Parts: sequence; C-alpha cells; structure tokens
Amino acid sequence: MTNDNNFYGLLAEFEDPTALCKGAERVRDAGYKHWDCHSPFPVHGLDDCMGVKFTRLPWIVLTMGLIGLFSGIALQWWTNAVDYPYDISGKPVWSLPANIPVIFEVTVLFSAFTAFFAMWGINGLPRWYHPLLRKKSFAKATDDGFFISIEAKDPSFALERTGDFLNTIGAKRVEEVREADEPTNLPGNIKAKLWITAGVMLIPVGMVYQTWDSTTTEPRVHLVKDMDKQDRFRSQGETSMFADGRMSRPQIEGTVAEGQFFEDMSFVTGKDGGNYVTAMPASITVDEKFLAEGKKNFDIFCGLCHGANGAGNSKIHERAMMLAAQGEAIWVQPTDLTGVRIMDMADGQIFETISNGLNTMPAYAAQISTEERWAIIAYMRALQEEYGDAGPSADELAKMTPVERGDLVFNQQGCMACHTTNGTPLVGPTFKGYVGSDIKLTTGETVKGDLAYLTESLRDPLAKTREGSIPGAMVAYPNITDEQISDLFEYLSTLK
Amino acid sequence: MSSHPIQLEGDNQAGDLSPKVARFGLGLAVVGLGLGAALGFMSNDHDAYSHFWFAYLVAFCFVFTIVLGATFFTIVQHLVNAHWSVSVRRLSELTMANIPLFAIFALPLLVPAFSDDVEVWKWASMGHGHEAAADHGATDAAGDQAHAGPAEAHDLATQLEHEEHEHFVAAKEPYLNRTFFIIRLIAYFLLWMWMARFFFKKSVDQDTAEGIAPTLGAKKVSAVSVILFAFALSFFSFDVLMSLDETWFSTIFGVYIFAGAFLSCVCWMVLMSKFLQAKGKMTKVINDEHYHDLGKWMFAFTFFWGYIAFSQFMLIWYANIPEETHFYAARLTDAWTGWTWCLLIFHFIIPFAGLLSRHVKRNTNVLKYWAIYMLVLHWVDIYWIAMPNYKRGEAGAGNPFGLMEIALAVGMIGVLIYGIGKKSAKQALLPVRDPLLGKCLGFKNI
Repeated sequence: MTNDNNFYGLLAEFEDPTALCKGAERVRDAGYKHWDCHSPFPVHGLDDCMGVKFTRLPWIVLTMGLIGLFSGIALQWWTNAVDYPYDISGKPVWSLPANIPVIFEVTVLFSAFTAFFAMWGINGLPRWYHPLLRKKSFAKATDDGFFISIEAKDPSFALERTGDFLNTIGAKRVEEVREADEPTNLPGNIKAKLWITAGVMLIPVGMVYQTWDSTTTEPRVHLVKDMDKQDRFRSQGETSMFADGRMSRPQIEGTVAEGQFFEDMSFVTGKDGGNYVTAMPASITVDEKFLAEGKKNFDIFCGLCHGANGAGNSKIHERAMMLAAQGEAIWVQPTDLTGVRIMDMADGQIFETISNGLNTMPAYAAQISTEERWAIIAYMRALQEEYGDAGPSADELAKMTPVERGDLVFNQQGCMACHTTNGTPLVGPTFKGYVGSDIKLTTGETVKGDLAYLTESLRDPLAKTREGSIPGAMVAYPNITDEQISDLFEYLSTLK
Repeated sequence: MSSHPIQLEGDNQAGDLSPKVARFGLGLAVVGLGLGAALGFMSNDHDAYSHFWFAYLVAFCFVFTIVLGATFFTIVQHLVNAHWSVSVRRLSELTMANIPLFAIFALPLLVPAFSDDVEVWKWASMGHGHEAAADHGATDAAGDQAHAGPAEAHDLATQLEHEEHEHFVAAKEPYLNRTFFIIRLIAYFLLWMWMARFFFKKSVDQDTAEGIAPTLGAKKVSAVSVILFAFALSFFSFDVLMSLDETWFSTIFGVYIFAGAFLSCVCWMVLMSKFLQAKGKMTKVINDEHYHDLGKWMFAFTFFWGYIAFSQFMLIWYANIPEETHFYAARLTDAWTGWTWCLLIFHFIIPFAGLLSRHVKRNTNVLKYWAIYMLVLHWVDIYWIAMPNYKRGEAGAGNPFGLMEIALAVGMIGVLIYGIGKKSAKQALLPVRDPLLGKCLGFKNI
C-alpha cells in the first residue's frame, strides 16, 4: 500500500489477446481483487481467465419482469374492475384476454429497462471520468492495446512487488497511474448549459400543466379525418335518394326479415295480442344457469347505470350528480329497478323497455339477444326478491290517509328523480307550491296546476308541455291508477 | 479465407450408420402406418374411414411441417450469412431433402379430397353436389312458404341456416374446388421440391468445390426463396388445414403454422445432433455453443408460437363476429376445452419457463428432453387444429384419440427417419468446405 492519496494503481500493457489471457490467469491466481482487463474488442475466454463470476443480471431481469407482469395485471384489475368499472364493447369489466397485451407490454418494459439500467449499475455506469483515461498510452485500448490495471486499494497491492509481478507475467510496459491534481469541477460553462436545457425541457411540461384542467370549445386536432367524416347512411338521416327522404328504410310490407320469424311472438315482442305478458315465455325455463346468464348481461349492460344491485346508484350516477351539482349536466337518476313501480311492471313491458329503450335509456335489442333479455328480467326479479320492498299491503293502504298514500306514490314511482319538494328546481319543476300555481305552456297558454293537469301530465306528458321543459324528459306512467293520482294530488297540495 | 484447411476431428461421415437408420425408419413406418391403416379400415363403420383420414392428415401435417421448417431454416441461414449454424446446417438439409418423399405420402390425401363418401374437406363434396342441393333447397323453401305454419317454423329456421352455410361455400367455390385445390397442391410441392433440390445440391457441391461459387449461388437465390416459401406455406396451411372448416378464416393462420413448423424443426435438429453424437459422429464440430443457439431458437419460437396463437385468439375474441368465433367456440366447449388449455399450459407457459434459463439450453441432455416434449406438443397442436372438424357440429362427436392416432404419427416419423437415413449415405454430415465453417467452429456465445 502507498500513502499517496492520488495514486490510482499500475497499468500494464500486453502484446496480444493471448498474452493478456495468460497474464490475467496469473493475476487471478495471485489473489488480486481490484483489477481489470482492457481490450479493443471482446476477447473470448477472458472471463474465465479473469475468474469473473457469471453475471447475476438475468436474475434481476427475471425478478423485475415478474414484478412487471403482476403490475400489469394489478394496474388493469384496479382501474377496470375496481376503481372505475366501465363498459367497453360489452366485455366483462375484468377479462384476461383483453388485458394480456398490456400485461405483456409492461413485462417487456420492466425487463428491458432493467436489463439496460441494471447492466449500467452493475458496471458502475454512468461515470464521467476514469483515472486510466489520463494516460496517453491507454488510448491504444481502443485500437490495438491490451491492458491489465491493478488498483492501489487492493489489499495485496505493493508498488514494487506488484510492478515486478506484472513484468514477470509478460507485460510489455508497466506504468504508474495517478488521479488528477487539478480540481475536478465541470469544465467551462457546461453547468449553465445544463440549467438552460433543463429549463427548456420544462416548457412542454408547463404547456401540459396549463391545459390540464381547462376546457376548450375547439374540436380536437385530427390528422386523419376519414374516421370522423365518412360518407354513409345514418339512421334517422335524410337523403334525396328515396321519395320519403328517409335514409332508414322501413321493412317491406308482408315480409319477415331473416332470422326474425318466431313461433311465439310474445318471445320477441313481450306482447300477447297487444297486452304485455306478465310471465316468462313458455319456451324459457328459469334455472340457475339462466339466472347466471342474466346476471352476466345485467352487470355488463344494466348495472353501469342502474347499479349492480339495481337500486339506481352507480358510478355514472355518482359522477353525473357531481357534475349536475356544478351545473355542468342535467341528470335524471336511473330508475330503481327494485322499487315498487318496476316490481309491479309486467315482464313484457320491461322487455319492451330493454329492447327499445325509454327516455335517455338506449335500445339494447341490437346488443343483447332475445333470450338474454329475458334472462336479465329473470335476474332483475331475483334482485327484487332480495332487495325490493313491496310496500304496505292493501289493508294497510286502506288505513292510511290520502296524503300518506300520495307520499308513498311519490316515492314509489320515482318522481323525486326529477322533482323536488323543497323549491329547488331539478330536471323537472319543483312540487313546492305546484298545486294551484299558474303554469305557462309552450303554446303560450296558461293552465292551473290542478288534478286534471296532473292526470294529463302523467297519462300523456307531451299533450301540454311546460315552457322551458326538456322535450320528452317526462315519461308517461300508464300503470298508475286514478286513485293513486288523486292521492298524489292530495300529497302535493300539502307542499306549500 | 475461402478454402483455408480446417483440421476436423471426429467422424463426419455417416458410413454404415445410414443403412441402419434407414432400416429402423422403414420398420417404424411400415409398422406404424400399417397398424394405423388396419385400425382405420378394419372397422365396417362408415365414419371410421373419415376418422382414419383425419388422423392421417394430422400425422402427415405433423411431420411435414418439420420438413418445411427445415427448408426455411436452411434458406434463412444462407440469407443472413449465418456462421453459427454451419455445423448443424447439413442436418436441416437432410431433413429438407425429404420433400419429394412426402409428396408421395401426400398422394393418399387425394382420396378424401375426391371421394364423396369421406368427409374431411366438406367443401369438396359440397361443391361437387352443389347444384342438386340448391335445387332441393329451393323446392323445400317454396313448399314451406305455401303452407307456413308455426309447426314448420323450426324446419324453416334450420333450412335458412343451411342455406346461409351453402352460400358461404358457394361464395368460396372459385377458390375451394377440387380442380384448383389439386393444382395449388402440385404448385406448392413443385416449388418446395425445387427449393430442397437446389439448396441441397449447392451445399453438397461446396463440399468438393475449389472456390465458394456454390455458396454464393445459394445466397443469391435465398431472398426470393424465403418470400416464395412464405406464400406457399401460408396458402398450404389455408388449403389443407384451415379449409377443414370451410366457413372459417384467419389471415394469421399461415404464420401460426409457420411458428410450429420452425419450432419443431429446431427440436428435430437437436435430436438428430444428439443421436449422431451418441453414435460417435460430429462430436467435435457440434458443441455446447451450437446447442445453446438451437435452444435459443426453441425458446424464441415457443414464445413466438404463443404470441401468434394469442394474437389470433384475441382479435377473434374481441371482435366477436360469429363467422370467426365458431373456431374457438368449438374448441372451448365440452371435450375440447381440456386440449385447448393443454396447449396454453404445456405448449407455452411450461416450456417458456423451462427454456428460459441459459443453463437448460447448454445442458444438452436436458435440452434433448425438451426437444422431444415440444415435438409431442407440436403434434397436439396440429391435432387440435384438425380433429375438431371431424363430425363437426354433430352431437357426441367427442375427441377421438387412440392407438390409431399414435400409430400413424409414429409411422410418419418413421418415414422421415427412413428418408434421412437414405439421404445421409452419399455425403458428409457436415458442409466440410463451407467458407464460414471456421467461424462456426470457433463460435462462442457471450
């Protein structure tokens, strides 16, 4: 050992790769630890001569690859199935086949980055400077020079003994290597340039930050427009091709579309001679498998709005209410499917609603097969068994006052989704002070908020629409009885 | 550097090993194919004939894909100027050289293609009797319309489904018909026979040549050959395997078959090499480094196979179009579910984990067992593609697997062994004067 702090070690040059390998074997056998070989190209077998142990890099890569694998699974499971379950192409929210590409990519990403950066780390990279680079003669290591360097910090190192040893194992020339005496600061104005570069790199980040939480009325920039602007026939669109100007063509009189002929028409329409059927079609057997099928499709198509248990509470509802509270959306709570109104609704009417849609609910006949729609109804009935509240019995109803019954109707029929009782306007007008008030119609007339108008609004909401109302937002309630309307009116009369 | 003398140790001539191998292969072929045919034709059951032809097709494609993989392997080594593979290249060339032999064993497949009694390629017999079937359908439909009551509705639905299916077949008729089918098969085999002959001859010519003209000649043709090979293999897969289900289509199918073909070819080369070394041949010219590279190919193509298999599955699963999904629907119901999972687990996950390590690839005795394992799984893969079409859509078709399948596959392997034994007699087992042989022998993996 030497006391000279700046002393790095000894550098020995060898004639050719063979001499280098032979020399390396001797250094290895002499028990040195802090030493290395330098050659212009990879010399096969040098690892063995130096006694280098096989790299542990593969294990690090394997570990990180597996972590990547499970990260990919966890990422998608959490975002898709737990935190924000959302319907995409009608697939289950958690389905492995759709997730494998991302799992694969994340695994590859973790493995490749690990292989690259761990290799750097194991080799002590990046480093700006190495004492050996100060030696002019060491430049030959990139051309035709073969070197062994032994560091002074090696416990076996002794200047003279090690120097003699290197000469005996075939070195052409042995040199001493010292660290620099001058300061090791970065030269010139590199630091200033780095700061400027870092500053410039912040500009795009700043731009992202600026637009992060802002809104714009400009359309998105689309480089390839053909997906947005296609020549095609749209349903409900206009065309000059046909006399009636409609793009959608009505079915030709007296024909049945392929695959649309059924023995039991109630199976596909939900109606029997114009009336809604009140039971499942005869061809259907409700068993566990059928209910499971119903649950699957209910979760995919219905649960997203109506909630997994049908109560009308869902992520979409929560978020819409949040936006509605900020005045950024108009929202009607999805119907509570376990409420009395739907419990009392005929199977056929529910079937028709699923098939053709109602109000803001779209039609699902195209996405859900006929049998699956019936399965959804069967599953809904099961949900109602579990969570539904049939309300008071006929005897109990008879004992209640009209106002109490009206309150019940108000809640059971879901009026509160659009109408408040406390004066706050929602999608529909508030019922506070509704009875007896003057209601301005879109026609310019004015009507009184009386029983007749209430009845008409429930039976045929489009007959006389209130000024400022959203067309079609109020839906007809054909199942509600005159007695119930009368009770409801009594209840509304109390809201002053 | 063209013809510097290389000191070659070990015995690089097959010598008296060739006739022994050929005899063994012949025995295996006669016993295997004989037993298979006996099992297939002894039965008086009409369906058994179809079953036999399916099993024969599986066995043929199983071994023939190895031969095709070897053809591609040989050509691509020339194309990329590979030096690591020179010492094992003759093994793939010997395998490749059997294409004419397998052209002969493809001839029996004309029976199911041209017979109306055997249902293998259903489009063949359907296309043949197409007009009669259409007439029949028209009459039936007219009859139904005349007195269409609810009772006949079910028949009508079946009838419509049947007509839809016939429409598919009729639409494909210009491509999928017996005449064009046989023309295409002849074209593929002529092309492959030419390739095998050309590249084999160039390689053998180099053994005695002074310069490197033969090697350069092979290189010159290799690029266009790879392209032609890719098209031929793709369409061969479409014609022979994909068209077993006449309504199904998947454009990636050819790549899928290619992945299995290349994988099984590399496995086969490992086995050939291990066999020769056990008999004291090629002991000094094929070392751990070459096995390591063959092992890398096994690993890479195990993954590539999985990648392609999943790519095919995921797109079909996601798009969910009935014309495409029925392929997987059939393989994910009843008896076939197990085979599908078997492929996923044993053809992909387990060998992926097993072949991942460098130490496995360099331990040739372990690698040998992986090679056998992957070849068995390659058979399962081909079986899984073809056999579900036997009695497709009929209740209780199940998945027929028994002695006949095993006997035919073993017999077909015997054919390949026989062919290689015959071919190996005339020249060295090593391209002794290949310009890259020196680099190959000194080759080391980092």
